Amino acid sequence: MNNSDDTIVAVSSPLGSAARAIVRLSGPMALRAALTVFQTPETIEETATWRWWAGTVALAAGGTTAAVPAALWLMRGPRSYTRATIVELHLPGNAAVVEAVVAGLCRAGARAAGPGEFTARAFLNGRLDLAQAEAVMAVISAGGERELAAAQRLLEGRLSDEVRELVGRLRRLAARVELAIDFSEERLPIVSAAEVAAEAGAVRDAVVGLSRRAGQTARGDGEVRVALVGRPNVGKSSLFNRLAGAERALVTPVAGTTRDELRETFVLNGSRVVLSDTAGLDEAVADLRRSDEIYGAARRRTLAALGRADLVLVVAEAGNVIAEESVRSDLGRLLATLAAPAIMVINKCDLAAPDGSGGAATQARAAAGIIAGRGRVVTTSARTGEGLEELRAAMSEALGQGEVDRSAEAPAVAARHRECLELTSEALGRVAELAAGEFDEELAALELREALEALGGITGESSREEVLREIFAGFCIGK
Amino acid sequence: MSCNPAIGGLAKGQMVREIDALGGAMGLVADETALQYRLLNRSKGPAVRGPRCQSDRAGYERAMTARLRAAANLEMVAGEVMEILAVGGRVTGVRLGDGEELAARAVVVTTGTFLNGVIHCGTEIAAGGRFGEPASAGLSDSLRRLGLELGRLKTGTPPRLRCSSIDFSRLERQDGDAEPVAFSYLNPPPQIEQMPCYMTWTNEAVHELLRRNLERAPLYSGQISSTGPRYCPSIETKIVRFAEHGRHQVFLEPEGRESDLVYANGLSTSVPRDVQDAMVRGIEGLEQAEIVRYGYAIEYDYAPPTQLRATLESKAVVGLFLAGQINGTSGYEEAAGQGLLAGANAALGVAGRAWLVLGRDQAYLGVMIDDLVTKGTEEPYRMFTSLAEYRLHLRQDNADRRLTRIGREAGLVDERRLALLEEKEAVMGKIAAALEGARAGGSSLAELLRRPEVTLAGLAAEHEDLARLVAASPAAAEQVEIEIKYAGYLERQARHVAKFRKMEERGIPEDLDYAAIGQLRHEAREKFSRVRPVNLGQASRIAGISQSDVMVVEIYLERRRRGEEGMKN
Repeated sequence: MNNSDDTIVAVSSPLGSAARAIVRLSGPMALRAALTVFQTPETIEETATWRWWAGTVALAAGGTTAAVPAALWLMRGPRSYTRATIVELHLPGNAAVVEAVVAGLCRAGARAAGPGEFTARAFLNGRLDLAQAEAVMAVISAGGERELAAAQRLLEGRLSDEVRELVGRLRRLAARVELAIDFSEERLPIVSAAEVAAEAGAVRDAVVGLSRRAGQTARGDGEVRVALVGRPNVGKSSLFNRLAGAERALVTPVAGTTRDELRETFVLNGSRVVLSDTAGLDEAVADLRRSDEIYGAARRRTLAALGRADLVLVVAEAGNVIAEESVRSDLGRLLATLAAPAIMVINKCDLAAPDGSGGAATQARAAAGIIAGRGRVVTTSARTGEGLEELRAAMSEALGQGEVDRSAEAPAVAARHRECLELTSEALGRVAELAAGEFDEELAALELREALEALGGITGESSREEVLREIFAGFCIGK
Repeated sequence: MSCNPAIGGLAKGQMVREIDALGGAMGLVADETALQYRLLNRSKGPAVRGPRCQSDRAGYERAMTARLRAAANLEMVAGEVMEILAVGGRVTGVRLGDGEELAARAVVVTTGTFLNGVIHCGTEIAAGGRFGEPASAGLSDSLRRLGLELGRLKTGTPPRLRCSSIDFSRLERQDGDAEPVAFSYLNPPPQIEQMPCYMTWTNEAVHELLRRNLERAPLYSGQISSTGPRYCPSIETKIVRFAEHGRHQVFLEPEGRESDLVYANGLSTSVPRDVQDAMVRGIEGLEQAEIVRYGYAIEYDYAPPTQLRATLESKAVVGLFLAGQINGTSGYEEAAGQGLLAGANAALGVAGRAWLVLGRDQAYLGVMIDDLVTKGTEEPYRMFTSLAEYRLHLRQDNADRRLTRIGREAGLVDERRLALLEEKEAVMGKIAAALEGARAGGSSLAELLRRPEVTLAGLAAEHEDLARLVAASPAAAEQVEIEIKYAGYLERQARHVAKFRKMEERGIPEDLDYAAIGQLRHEAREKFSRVRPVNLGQASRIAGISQSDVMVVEIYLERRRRGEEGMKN
C-alpha cells in the first residue's frame, strides 16, 4: 500500500523526446536518493533551494562506466509542488539512461509513483485548492485505468504469460515451504533445502531475463503513436507527408513494417511521434457488420493500429464528410471502443464551396457529431498547408492531456515493472542464500512472500490466499 | 468441546497464548485439564512454534463451568433464546423459549453449530446442534428480521471408539514432550503424568469399501450442498480427491483420564453407520473396535462476517455482537478469541469506553477479525500462520509483551499478570545488559550470540551472572535470544509494520457516502459501501480494490475536511 511519506519517483517528461528527460522525485529521501546517482564537483548547501547544479550521472555499460552530463534541480519543501522536497534530474532524452537512473533511485529507497500520485500529494498537502479536487480525482481514476491499459500493452503476449507462469511457480514453491510450517504434523513430503535453492535460483534467472527484456519493451514504447484513418482519396497521404515532412530535418525515419501501414517519425513539441497511415476506414468499421473472412487480416491490422494509438486522426473530405449514415454510426461506435482521444480532420477545404449546404460550418457540425466529444474538429488543406498549424496545436493539446501522467505513463509503468522484477530477484537471491546455509523455513517463507508480492505487483495479483489454495489443492491435508 | 479433545496447535496455539495474555481463561483451563503437551514445530524457527495439548473433555467442561460460577458479577441463566429484541436499531434484550424477557444493552450471540443445525449420518437426517442436543430453530428468523443476512456452512466429526476395544500393541505411540511448556503465562512448567496418543493408517481395502458406498454418503449423494472446510476433509472426501494415496493417517486421541472413549482423528465422516463399522474394523489395531458414537456431518447457519465491525458488533443493530461459528469460523481457539473480544467490546460499549480492536501487526486475533470483517469467508475460517503478514513478530513466546498491557487498559487483566510481565521484562533487560557488557575474544556476548552456532545456554555455561539470570526466567532468556538472533529480520518487519500503521491510522468516517464520489469505479463504490472500511488500510485490503481507488477516497476525504474547515471559519 502507498504511504504518503515514501519518496516517489516518476519520469515527468515525455520519454523519447529529442531534447531531454526529467526524472522527478518527491519525499523526504529525494535528495539523498538523487545523490546516489548524481555527482557534482560543487557543494549543495544545506539551505539551497530553487537552484540547480551541473554534474553527471554514472552509467555502467558493458563493464565500463560512462559519465553522462546531467543537471540536478532542488526545490525544498514546503515551497514545492507537493510541499515535500522535490528533486529533478534533467537527463539526455535517452531511454537507457533514464531507465538506469530510475532503477538506481529505486535501489536508493525511492518507489515508482502510482498514477496521479504527484498530483494527489500536491492536493493532500494543500498545494492545490478545493476546487481542484474533482480534477485530481479524475486524474487518479483515469490514470489507474490508463495504467492498466499501458500495463496490458507492455505485457502483451509472451511477457505476460511468462510473468504468470513465474508467479505460479513461486506460489507452488511457497506452498511447499508453508506446508512444512503450517502442516508439519501431517507427515507430508517435506521440501528440502536443495529443492528450494534450485527452484528459487531457476525462477530468479528467469526473472532477470524478463527484466532485461522488459527494458527493451519500454524503449520501444517511449514514443507517442498517432494513427490516421479515412476513406481513400480524402487526402490522407498528403496530410501524412505534410505532418511528417514539415519536420523532416529533425526526424529519424522508421521503415514501414507492412505494406499496409506506412509509418513516419517526427517530433512534435518535444515528443517523438510515430505517425501511421493505417488501412482504410472502411476496413476498420467493416467488422461491425461483415464477416471475418472477407476483411480478416486487413481489419485486424487496422484495429490493432488504432488500439495501440495514443491519438486517432479521422480524415474526411470537405464537402463530403461521410455521407452514409450507417458508416457514420459505425465510426462513432468504433471510436467509442478506443481509449485514445480523436481529432476529426476535414481536409481539402480549399476545394469546398464557401457556403451553402456543403459549407464548412455544416460540415464541422456533422463531424463533431461523429466524434461525439472525443476531440476537436479541424479543417485543413494538405495541398496549401492551410490549417496545418491548427492541427499540430490540436494534436499537442490532445497528447498533452493528463500532462505529467499522460506522457510519463508508459515509461513509468515500465519502471515499476522493473522495480518489481528487481525486488523479486533480490528476495529470491536471499532465499537461495538461506537454503544454502542454515535453512530456516520460516525465513525462506518470508523472503518468498516478498518475492511473490513484488512479482504479483506486475499483474496486480495477490498470493496470500492463493498459496493456501495451492496447499489444499495439491496435498491431502486434515486429520 | 464438540470436536477433538485438544487445544492449540499451529497458529491456534499462538492464539491461546494471546487469549491468555489478554486475561482469557482458555490457557488456564487447558493447563488444568491437559493429558499431553507438545510444542509443535519445536525444531523450526521460533515464530512458527505452536503449543498444543490433548485435553480431558469432561474435565475441561467442568473446569470452565467452575470458573464461570466463581466469577464475580456474573449471573448465569439457562434457556433457549428465541428472539433478539431491538428498538430503533438498538438491542434491548432477548426473549427466551418460555416467554421470559431478559433486558440488556448488549447481547453477544455465540450459536456454534446450533443455528438451524441439521445432522447427517448416512441417509438419516435430524435437526440438532450437536450429538444428542437440539438445534436452535427460531433465532435465525429473528436475526434475519433484524437485517442480518445468513448463509450455510458444513462441518463434520469422526466416530468415537471404546478405548478398551482397541489393540494398541501394534500401533505407533506418540508421547508428549519431555519438558512440557504451559499454555498460560501464569503457570510454571506442567508437572503432570502425560497420556500417549497412537497412530494408525487406513488402507486400500477400507478405501474400496468407502468407494463402493459413496452413493450413500451425504456429501456425494447430493444430500449436503453447503461448503465444508478444505483443511478438515472427511475421509470420503480424501479418498475421492486424493485417490492416488493408498493410506491416510488416523490419530487415536484419549478423551480423558477417566474416559473410556478415544477420538479417531482423521476419520471424520457422515457415511451410514454400517459403513462406519466396517471401515473402522478394516483398520489396523481397530479390528475389534467398538464405535460408541458415530461420526456425522452437520450443517448450520452463519452470518457472513462482513456485516460486522472490527469490534464484532453488527453494523445493522447497535449492541448486537456475534462471535464464533456464527461468524463463519471453525475451531475452539478462533471462537474463544472472538468470544473474548466481543464480550470485552460489549462491556466497553455499555460503559462508554474505548473499543478493544487488535491490529494485524499486534495479534493473530487481529489478523482473524480483520480477515473476517474485510474479506468475509465462504468456508469455515481457520487460522494459519501463513495468513499473518508479520508472522515473525506474532510469536507464542511474546504474546504477553504484545497484549497484556492492552488487556490491562481494557480492564481484562489483573495486577498479578501485569506484575509477572514486568518481572519478566526486568529480567530481559538484565540479560540483554549482561550480554552487551561481557566480552569474549574481542566481541560482546550479544555479538557472539548472533552467530548461528552460538546459543544463550552455551554462553551462560561460561558466565555465571548470565546463568543466574537465565535460571531466574527461562522465558525471558528465550525471548532475548530470539530477538538477538533474528534482529535483522525483526527490524525489517518493524519497518513494514510502521508503514502498515500509517494507513491504519487514516480513518474513514462511517457515514461516508460512496455513491457521491463520482470518480470511483462502480465496482469500487459497491465494495466500499458494503464493507464500510474504517480506515484507508482496511479499504486497501478489500478484494478487487486498487491503489487508485483508495487514493480517490483519500482525496475525497481531504476535500471534505477542507470544506468543513472552510465552513467553520
